[in-house]
Amino acid sequence: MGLKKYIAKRVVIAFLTLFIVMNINFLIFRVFSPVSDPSQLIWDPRMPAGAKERLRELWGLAFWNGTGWQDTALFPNQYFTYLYNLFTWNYGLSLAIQPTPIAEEMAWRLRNTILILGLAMVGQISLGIPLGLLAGSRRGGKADVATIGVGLFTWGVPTFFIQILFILVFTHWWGATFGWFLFESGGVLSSPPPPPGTLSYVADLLWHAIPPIITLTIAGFGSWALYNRNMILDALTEDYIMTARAKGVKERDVIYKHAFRSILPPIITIVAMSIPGIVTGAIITEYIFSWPGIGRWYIDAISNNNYPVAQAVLYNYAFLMIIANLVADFLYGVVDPRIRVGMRR
Amino acid sequence: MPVFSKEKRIVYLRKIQGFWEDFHRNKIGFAGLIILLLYIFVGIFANYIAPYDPANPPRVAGATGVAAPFAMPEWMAIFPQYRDLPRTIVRTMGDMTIVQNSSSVKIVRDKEILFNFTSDGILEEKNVSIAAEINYQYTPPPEFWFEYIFDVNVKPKFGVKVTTEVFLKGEIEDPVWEKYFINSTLASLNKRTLTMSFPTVTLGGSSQGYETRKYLFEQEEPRVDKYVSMDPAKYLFATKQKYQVLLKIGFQPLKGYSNQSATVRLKSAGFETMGSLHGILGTQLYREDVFSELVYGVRISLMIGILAAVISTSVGILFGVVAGYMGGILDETLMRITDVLLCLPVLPLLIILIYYYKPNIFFIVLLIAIFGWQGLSRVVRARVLSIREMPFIESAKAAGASNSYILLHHLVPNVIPVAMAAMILAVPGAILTEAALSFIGFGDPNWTTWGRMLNDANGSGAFTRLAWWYAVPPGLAMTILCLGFVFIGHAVDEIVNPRLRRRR
Repeated sequence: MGLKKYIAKRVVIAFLTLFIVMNINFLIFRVFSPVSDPSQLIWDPRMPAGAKERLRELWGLAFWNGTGWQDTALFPNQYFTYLYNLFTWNYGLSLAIQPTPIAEEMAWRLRNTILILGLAMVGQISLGIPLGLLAGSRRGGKADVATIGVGLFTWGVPTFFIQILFILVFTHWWGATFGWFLFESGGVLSSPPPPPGTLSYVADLLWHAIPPIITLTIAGFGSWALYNRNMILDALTEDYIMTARAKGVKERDVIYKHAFRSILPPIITIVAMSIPGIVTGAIITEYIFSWPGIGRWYIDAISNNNYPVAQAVLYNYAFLMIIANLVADFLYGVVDPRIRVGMRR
Repeated sequence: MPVFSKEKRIVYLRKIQGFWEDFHRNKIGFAGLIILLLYIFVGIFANYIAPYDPANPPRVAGATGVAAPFAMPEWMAIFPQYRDLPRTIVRTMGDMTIVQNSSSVKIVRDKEILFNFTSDGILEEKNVSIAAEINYQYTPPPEFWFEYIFDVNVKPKFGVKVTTEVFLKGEIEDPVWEKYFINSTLASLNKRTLTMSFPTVTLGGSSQGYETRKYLFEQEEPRVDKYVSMDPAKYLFATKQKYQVLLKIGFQPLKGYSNQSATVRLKSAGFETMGSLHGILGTQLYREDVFSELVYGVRISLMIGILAAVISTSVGILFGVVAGYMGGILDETLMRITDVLLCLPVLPLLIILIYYYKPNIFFIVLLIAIFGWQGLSRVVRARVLSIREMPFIESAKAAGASNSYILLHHLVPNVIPVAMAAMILAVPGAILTEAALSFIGFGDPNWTTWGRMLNDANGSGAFTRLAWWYAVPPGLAMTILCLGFVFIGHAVDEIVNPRLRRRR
């Protein structure tokens, strides 16, 4: 199987997967949902006559057929509207008394999520990869043992436990002992917020953003280090490393120029693959720190049966994952010549 | 399951022995095993280790809870600033003695106490008291209650006043607090039970709460009423001394009704000062013992983790072996299913499914398992792809072995070592997923899991109160258990995975 054919096949499969996910997303929320009519959840006897129907029309659940209100058919009308909305990245209106466009809210919430998760990811990688390299190059040394320990530890310790401890110690204990808060844990900005664009605005934002970033970094860098260590150890057993050493190449160069370079493609792949995972994993983090990002939005939407929001979030998660998988496959196929032909995962 | 011949049994036994040889030399793995055995022990003997059963919280004479909300661990008393904090003191009806008795009252004492009053033509009040002693040597308790359940049977219908009063007396007489503080009120008429809960602050100093109201019985049928009170403990327990709790039952015929009789049946009476120090790990908001919840959590967590891992591993092996061995359309279909499942965001999906279909613990375990087998089935399939080309499979085929025979006797035993490591490493994943779900409030409400304890701690303000004994232990217990599994899994992986072994 040639490279082109391989890529074409992966793209087709990715689209197929996306389509299946879209259908599952539709089925869960509109067909298998125990709530048949979402308007009954927000129904209020004080609402004027016809308000409920107007709301249902806004949500695309009913329409005026000239003589009376009629429910929109689940299939094909609702189904195709749903598909069309997803393909145009327009998720319609949220199911609230005052419906708001979901796409707008998603934009600023995504910004919040990316702020903490992007920085946390940078932190994890920039701590984890050098540590793994250090551990792998001095096998059995103190750094190696420490890395294995930290790696296994972060595998077992739940992220939210680290976050709880962090809040307990640095917000509440610190606040009770010293009378001021080292970090704020909750929300994005203080109230009242400082004027945007100023230095104090950025400082306030960081004051709130640092706890989730630090805790996510602590919780995640160990597994990066462990993974990188194992990769480098594997690479160091290759024959070309022995050749390089026999040639008299400096040990430093052996590790950085030969071993590390050879493991870069899988590392890039793993980075690509882990992005969507971290985005979905942020649900708990955002819950703990009351961070108004995508994950927090999702939980709130589910508790309020605001299913268009939940659908939009789930769809985006799945979309991200499919794209990441595809990118990872490409990277494997394109970057690493050894896997270029005949690869089948 | 295939029945092994004797030769095969010996082969497998040797393999296990060899594995053990490798395993018990692996320090990390051995440490993990010890952790796991410890947890299993605690899980099995949870009934004996935990002082209380969280499913049936203790009720001393009717009140729930073992100490005040967010009571500290008892061993915190080694620090001088906590030494004088109140302990829980309980006096039940069995500890009470009859101290004062009008001559003509007949008393029958069994499990219940029966007071038979007869007026004998006299209009004077007759009364009986029962009392218990307390040696109170601490700072005032955050709350205390006295509770008694009784019913009254009056004959004939009208004309009798039956009163119940509670006194708390110190050995050193002090007019300020030598007053009764619990009243029988009419408020409980339509409700069978009444819980009056007076926090210290709202009642402080006001005399309203100290008044006695007398209740005139007007109905024939016996009535059960229950009075609980938490009162200005700050004033009443200001002195460290001996106290006497006294329940006085009074009987007086009204004018013109001189020939009356009444039976007061005291079902239970109890007095308790709620302590600020309790047990090994204190209490939580609902006055329940944290240590018991923690110990019972071991059982649930082990069950969730192991069950989910076993199910997902079995499915993973099955799908992997079948896909790898059969090939063709079946292989393609199974692998596409795997692809789709791998692209689904697991945690958000679990949340919505649990929200829609009633959070039941076994349903949650099943869901975790359903989203957990894909990685393993890929690994197993890859291994089967290489095994199936080996000569021994071909000779088995030549000997006329059926597909199912080859699957069960040749392929499955060969992938089990890999699957074992994967299964052990899947346990912490399942435990943490369930904990995360419970933590954000999507767990089974009927089980006190560690995740739910953390959720309760978060929701009940344990953080702002710095109640570390409630917020930290569940997370720590979870972490150590998961580390145990990770250690074992890491060791097993190193032993059974030849690629890792080469690097040793």
